[in-house]
Amino acid sequence: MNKVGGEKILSIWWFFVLALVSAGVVGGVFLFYSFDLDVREVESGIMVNRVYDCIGSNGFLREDVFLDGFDIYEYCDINKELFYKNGSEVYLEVEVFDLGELVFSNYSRNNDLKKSYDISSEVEFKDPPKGFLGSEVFLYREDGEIKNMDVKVVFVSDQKGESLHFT
Amino acid sequence: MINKNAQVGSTVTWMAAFVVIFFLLILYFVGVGFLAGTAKIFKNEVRYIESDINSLASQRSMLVLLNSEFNFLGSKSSVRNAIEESVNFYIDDDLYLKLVSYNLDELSNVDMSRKSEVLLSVFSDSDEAVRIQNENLEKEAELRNFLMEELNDECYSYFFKFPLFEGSFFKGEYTDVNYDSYKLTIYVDSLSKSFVDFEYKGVSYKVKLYKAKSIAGDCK
Repeated sequence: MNKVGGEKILSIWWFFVLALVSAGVVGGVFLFYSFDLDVREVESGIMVNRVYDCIGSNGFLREDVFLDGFDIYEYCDINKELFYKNGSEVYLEVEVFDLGELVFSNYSRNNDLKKSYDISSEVEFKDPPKGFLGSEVFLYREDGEIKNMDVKVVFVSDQKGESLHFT
Repeated sequence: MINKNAQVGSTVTWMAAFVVIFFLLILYFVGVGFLAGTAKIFKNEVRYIESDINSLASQRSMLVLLNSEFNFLGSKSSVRNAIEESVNFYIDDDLYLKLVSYNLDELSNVDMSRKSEVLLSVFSDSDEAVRIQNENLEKEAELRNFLMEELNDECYSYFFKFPLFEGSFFKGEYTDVNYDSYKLTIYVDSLSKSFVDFEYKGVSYKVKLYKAKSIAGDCK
């Protein structure tokens, strides 16, 4: 009936197996969370598309864009605070050109972010901000005539890790 | 010791299990390490596939194109109206629809002589048939010329298809090719596609616009 010794041997292997499985779980979780997922470029692309879809309709640029006091953030239901707070990590730029002449523009606060983004295409440096530059043509009806307008939208993001609510 | 046989047996089982689990774990870590070193998803970035990011832009540029105005048969008309006016003629007569088994998108594959035969069978007056045929050709030519102006880009080649013709537009030139041939002429792996459905008298057809960015020279 003396089985104590046998149980001791079994317990040791049990502990080995438990330790091994625990190490596997901890290691797996550590590996999973140690990889950063950089969504800045994707985020920028989505925002640029959102702005285009907001200021354009069926191929035409909305007339509201040229109204006095037009606020693109309010109009497009974008959280303006994120773009104008101190140390903002996101930047939005919208420019509308009529035959090369700038007829509407809106630049958010952190212009340095845009400069860094521009420079990053020419000079290589560590972890530059990511962005998306859109350039599309929209139609605009003025005095019964339809003309083309170039609309440039730039979104730059340098925010990582924080969940921002753009709307 | 005789009474301990069962315990020793399960201990040996767990020793073997330990070794198996240990090697499975090693394989797991090696696999994760391999993926981390090679797979793109572990390169710390999530990227759009170019065709995805451009597909929305492509759909918008399609709408711009369809609403653009140009001189069509002596008066200003949108591309949308010009397409409808050109295509609806073929829907008005059942003979054309029979020719393409009621799939109007196939009309661009029907050659001119077959269309002429149908036209002559519809109109007893051959002069009238020729006049209408010339008018249809003129409509197609005007539309094609406008597309040549509008889809004129140094860096993008376009493929435009609607029931009357299909072809590619690049640097202001039009080439009469089908989609398969077009795909062979472009040297990019991403192609953004957009299309709009039209309907007239219960017959629907598609207008398609494909766009591919050239990777040559400054366009890269």
